[in-house]
Amino acid sequence: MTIQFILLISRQGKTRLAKWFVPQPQKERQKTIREIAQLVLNRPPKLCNFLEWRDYKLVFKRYASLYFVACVDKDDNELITLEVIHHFVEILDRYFGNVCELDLIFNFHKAYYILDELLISGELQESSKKTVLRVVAAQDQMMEEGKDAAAAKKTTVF
Amino acid sequence: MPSGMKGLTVFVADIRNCPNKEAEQKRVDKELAKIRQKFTNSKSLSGYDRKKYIWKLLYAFMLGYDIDFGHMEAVNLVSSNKYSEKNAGYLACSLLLSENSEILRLITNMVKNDILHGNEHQTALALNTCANLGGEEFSENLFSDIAKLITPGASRPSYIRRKAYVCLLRLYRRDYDTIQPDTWAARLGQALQSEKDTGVLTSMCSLILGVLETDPNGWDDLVQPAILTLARVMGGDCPPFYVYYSVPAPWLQIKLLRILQFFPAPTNTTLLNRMNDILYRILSKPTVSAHAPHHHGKKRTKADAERLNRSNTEHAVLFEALNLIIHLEMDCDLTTKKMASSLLGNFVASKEANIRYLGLETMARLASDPDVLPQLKRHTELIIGQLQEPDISIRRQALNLLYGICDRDNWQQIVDELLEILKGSDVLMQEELVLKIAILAERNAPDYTWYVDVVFKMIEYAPEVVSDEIWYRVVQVVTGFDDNTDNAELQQYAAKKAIEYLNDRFADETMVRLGAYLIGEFGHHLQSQLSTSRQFQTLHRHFPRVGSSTRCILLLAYAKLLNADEDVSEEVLAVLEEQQDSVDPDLQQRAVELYRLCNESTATMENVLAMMPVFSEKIQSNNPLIRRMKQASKSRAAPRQQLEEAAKTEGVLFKTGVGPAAKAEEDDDHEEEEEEEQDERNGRRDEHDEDEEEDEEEEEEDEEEEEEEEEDRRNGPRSRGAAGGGGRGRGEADSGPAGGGLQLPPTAPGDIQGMWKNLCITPQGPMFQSNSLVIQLRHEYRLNQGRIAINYANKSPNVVVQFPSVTISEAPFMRHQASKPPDVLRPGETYTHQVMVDCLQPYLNPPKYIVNCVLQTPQGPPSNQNLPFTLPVCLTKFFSPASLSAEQFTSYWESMSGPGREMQLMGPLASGFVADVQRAAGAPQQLSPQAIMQRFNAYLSQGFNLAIIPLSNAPGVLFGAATFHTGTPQPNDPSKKVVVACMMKLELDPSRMMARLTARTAHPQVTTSFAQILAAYFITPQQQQQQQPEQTPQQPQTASLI
Repeated sequence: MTIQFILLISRQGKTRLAKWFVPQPQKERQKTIREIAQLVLNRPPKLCNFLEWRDYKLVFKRYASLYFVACVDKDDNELITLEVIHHFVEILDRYFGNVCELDLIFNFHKAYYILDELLISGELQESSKKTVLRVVAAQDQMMEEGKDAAAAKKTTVF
Repeated sequence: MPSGMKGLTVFVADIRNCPNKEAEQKRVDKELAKIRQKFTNSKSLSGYDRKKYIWKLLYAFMLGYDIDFGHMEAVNLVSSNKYSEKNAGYLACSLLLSENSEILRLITNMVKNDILHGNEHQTALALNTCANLGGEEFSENLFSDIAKLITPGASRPSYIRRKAYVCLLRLYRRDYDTIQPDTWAARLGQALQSEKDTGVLTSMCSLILGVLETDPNGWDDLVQPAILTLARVMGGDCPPFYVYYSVPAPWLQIKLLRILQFFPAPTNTTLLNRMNDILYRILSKPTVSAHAPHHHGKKRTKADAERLNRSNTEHAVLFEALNLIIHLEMDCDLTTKKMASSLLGNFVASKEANIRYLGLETMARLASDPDVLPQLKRHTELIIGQLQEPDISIRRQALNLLYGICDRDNWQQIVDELLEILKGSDVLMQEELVLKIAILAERNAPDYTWYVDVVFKMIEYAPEVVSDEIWYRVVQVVTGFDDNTDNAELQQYAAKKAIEYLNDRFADETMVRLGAYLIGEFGHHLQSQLSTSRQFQTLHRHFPRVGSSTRCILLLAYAKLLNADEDVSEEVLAVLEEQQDSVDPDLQQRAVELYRLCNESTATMENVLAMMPVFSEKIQSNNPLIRRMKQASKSRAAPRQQLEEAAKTEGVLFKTGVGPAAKAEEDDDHEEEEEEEQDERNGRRDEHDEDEEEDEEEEEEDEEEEEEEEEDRRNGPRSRGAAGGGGRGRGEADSGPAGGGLQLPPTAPGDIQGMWKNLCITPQGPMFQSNSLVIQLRHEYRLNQGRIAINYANKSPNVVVQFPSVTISEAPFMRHQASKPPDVLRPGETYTHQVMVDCLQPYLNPPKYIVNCVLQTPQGPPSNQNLPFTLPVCLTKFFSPASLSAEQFTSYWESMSGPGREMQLMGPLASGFVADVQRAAGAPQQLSPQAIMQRFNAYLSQGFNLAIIPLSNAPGVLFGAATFHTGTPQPNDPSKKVVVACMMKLELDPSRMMARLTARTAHPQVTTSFAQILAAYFITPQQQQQQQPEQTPQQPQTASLI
C-alpha cells in the first residue's frame, strides 16, 4: 500500500507539486509527468478515477483547476487512495482557508511541508486532520520565532 | 501561516507571467546564474538568503529544470540551528537528492544527531528525510537508532513513533535482513496488541505489510493481534478525530484486512469465527450511495460531497473485506461468500463509475472460486454491456472479468461479443482482446472447427494485431497432438477455410501466411473438391504483394503441393527457378534448396516434404498464449528475489515490473564518449579495478603487520584508524573502487610538495602534518566530476586550532562547491571538509586551497599560520582509461600530429622516480629496465588513469590512451559534454637512463598539461628537453615506430 509518487498538475499541464517516494532521475520524472498529464488531462469527465498505467495504477481527481494524481500498485486499494488525496486537499483547505491553485503556486513550499506530515515514504503516516494541522501550526510557530531572531540580528548588522 | 519570502514570491510571479516557454527558460536561467554566483561566495550569505535561494532552486527543479548545484547549500542548511533553515535544508535534500546520491553521506551524521539528540520537531524532520530518501547509507547507519525510538518503554511521543515505523520500512526495503521474524515477529505482535494510538498503529501496519510482501513466512504471531485490533477498531474504539466521514480509522482497518490476506485462515476456530464475524459485519452494513436519492438541482451541495467521501471510504473497506474473502476461499462462511457475489452484482450495475470499475475488478478475482462462479455467470449480460462503456479503464476490467467467467456454457456468447467489440476497438485494447479470444475459443470450443473459424474472423477484423504466436498455435492445433485423435476432418476444414479467405484478392498478409501453411500442409485433403493447380493459383496470386518472409512460406507451400500432386510440377518449378535469382538472400536460398530438392529422388523429396508429424501432448497443455497473459497472482507476497532485484536497481519504482530507469541515465553519461571506445573500456576498467583492490588489500595487510604503529602515525589515511577519522566510521568500506591505487613511499612530514605530488596520483593520503594539525585528503572522480574529502584532525593534547578562513581560489576552468569549512578544532577533534569539483576546461595548475589557521596554546601568544595548499586535482584526474585496440590507437595516433597536437619531452629519469622503482622492486640496487617499465606501467594506469595499449612488443616502449572529461556542453549538441581523446608514448633508453615522453591530443592546452604533468614524475625537471613539433613537424622517429 505504498504510493509511488504524488503529482499536482494544473489544467495547463504545469506541475504544482511533485513528490517522488522512489528514486527517479530528473529526466525520467519529467517524462513521466508529461505522459501522465497527457493521460489525465485528456480524459473525459465523469469517467472513473482510475487508470492503468505501465505496471501501476493512477488514482486521480480533479479539484477545480488542479488534478491530484497518486500512483499506486495495481492491486492497491484505489478508493482509499482517492481518500488520501481528499484528506490532503482538506488539510490544505483548512490550512490556507479556502485553498486555491494560487495559494499552492506561491506557497508551494508550505504544501511540501504539509505533505510531509501526511505521507512519508509513500505511506500515510497520519490520518487525523486535527493532528496534522496541530503539528504544522507548531512548526509555523517555530519558524516565526526563528525569523524574529534573524530579523533582530539583521538590524544590528546594518 | 507565516508570511512568505519576498524574493521567492517575485520569482514565482515572474515565471507565472512568462508568456511562453522560452521566456520562462530565460527567466529561470537568469535566476540560476545569480544563485550560482551567490553560492560561490556563500560565506557571507545569511541563513535566510540561503534558504530563499534554495527554495527558488526547488521551484525551478519542480518545473523540470535540471539543478546541478546548490546541494551543498542544502546540506549547510541542515546543519543550521534555526528550525526554519533546518527544515528547508532537510526538505531540499529529500527533494533534490536521491537515495544513491553521494551527498547523503554528508548529512548522515546530522540526521543521526537530530534523531538522537534533537528536540521532537528536529527528530521529526530527520525522520521524514530518512523515510523519503532511504538508501544504503541511511540503512547502514541509522537503522538501529531509529529502531530504538520504538522500543517499549522508550516513551517517545506518538508523533515520533509513527514516523519511526515508516522509516524502518524504508530502510528495510534497502536491506531485507534488518527485520527478521525471529526477533521481530513477537515484538511487532506485542506492539500491535498494546499500542493505543491510532496513528502509530497505522504506521506500524505499513511496516508489517511491507515486511510481509517480501516473505510472509514466520510472522504468524501477527494474525491474532491483527484480528483483535480490527475487531476493536470496528467496534468503535477509536478517538473521534480518527473517524473519517463516519468510518472509524478506515486506513487502519484496510491495512489490517490486508495483513490477514498474507496468511492462511487461522486453524484456531475461535479466531476463524471472529474473522468471519468481522467480514459478515462489514458486508452486511448498509453503505451510503454516492448519489442522493432525489437529486434535482444541478449544483452539487456540500452534503453531496460528503456523501461521496463517505461512500468512497465505506466501499474502500468493503472491497478490502471482499479481497480477504476471496483469499480465504473455502474457509470463508458460505453465506458471507454468497453475500459477496450478490453485492458485486450490484456494484457492476452501479451508477457510479468507480464502484462499477472496482466491482468488475473484484469479481474477476472471485471468479476462480467454483462456489460462486455460477452466481457470477448470471451477470454475464450486464458485464458484456460494460464493453460498450466509453471508459477504457472499465472496458478493460470488463474484458478481464469475461475472460474469468468464460466456460463451456457461455463461451459462444462471450466470444461472439468479443469478436464484435474487436472490430471497433483501439489497438491497445485489440491486442488484449485477440489474445483472450484465441485462448477462450481453443479452451472452450466443443470442436476445433469453431476455434479455426474464430481465428480466421479475428484475422479478418484486426489483422495487424494478430501476432505470429496466435497463428502458430492454430497450426499446432490443426496438425494435432499425440493423442490418437484423427485430425483429417479438421485439417480439411481448415484448408478449405483458408481457400475461401484467400479467394479475396486483398486478403491480409497474416491471412496469407496462415493460409499458405494450411493449404500447403493439408491441401491434399481437398483434391477431390479443388484441383491442386487451383490451390496453387489461389496462393500464388498473393505472391507479388507480400513481403519476403511470407514469400518464403509460400515457396514451401508450393513445394509441398508439388510433393502431394505431380500435376503442378511445371508451375511450381517455374516459380522456384525464377526465385533462384531473387535479390532477397533468404528467398533465393529457399528457392535454390527447394528447387534442388524437387529434382532429387522421389524418396528424399517425400521424406523431407511429407506432412508435419503431430506435436507432443506437452505442447497441447502448454499454450504459449497463456504464458503471455499477465495473470494477477493470487498471493500478495512477491518473491523476495524479485524484490531484491528491484531494490538493487536504482531508479526503479518499488516492486517488480519496471525497467531500470537509472541504468538508462548511466548509459546517457557514456554516450559522451566515442562509442567504439565504450564497451572495451568499461569491461577493461572493471577488471582493472578488481585487480587493484586485491593488490591494495594484500599490501595493506603486509604494511600493517610490519610497521603498524608507525604507519598509523605517519601515513594515516591508508591505515584503519585514520580512515575513520572523517567521522563516518566506515572509511574502509566506502573507499570503493577508487580505493585501490598506486602505492607510493611515505613522504617526510614537512614535505608538503611531495605529499601533494603523491596525492595527485593516489586516491588518498596526507596533505599536511604538524605536531598539532594533521590534514588528510581523499578524493574520487567520475568523468568530469570529483569529490574531495579533506579531513582535519587536531592531534595535540592542548592546542586549540581556529580557522578564520578556508578558501578555494576561483578558476574559470573549474566549478566547485564546498561544505562548511572547519571553524574550530579542540584537542582530539576532527572535521571533514567536503569539496565537489566539476572540470570545465583544460588547465595546468589546479585551484588553490588556502587554509588560514590560528594555533592557540595554553601558554604563549596565538600563532597565525597561512597554508597555501593547491588542490591535488591535476588534469589527469578527469581521465578515464580508453582501451583502444592496437589498430584504433594507431590510426588515431597518426591522425593526431602537428602543431598544438603533440608535445615531446625528454631527459634523464627523475631521481624520485628512480628511488621509487628501487623501493617497489624491493631491493635498493635493483634497477633493471624491466623494473622501470613495470613502474612506468603502474604510474600510467593507476596514477594517471590511462589504458595501456598492447601495441608494441618492443621492450622499452609503452603506449597509453584516455578520455579527458569536461562538464562543458558541446556547442553543436548541448546534451553531450566536450571530451578530449588523449594518447601518449613513453620510451626508455636504459643505457643512458633517459626517458622520452610524447603526448598527443586534439587540444593544445590538453597536450601541454598532459605532457608536463606526466613528465613531472618521470623526467628530471631541469634537464627536460622540449621538442616542439614546430621544429620537427614530421616526427619521423615516432612515425616509423608504428
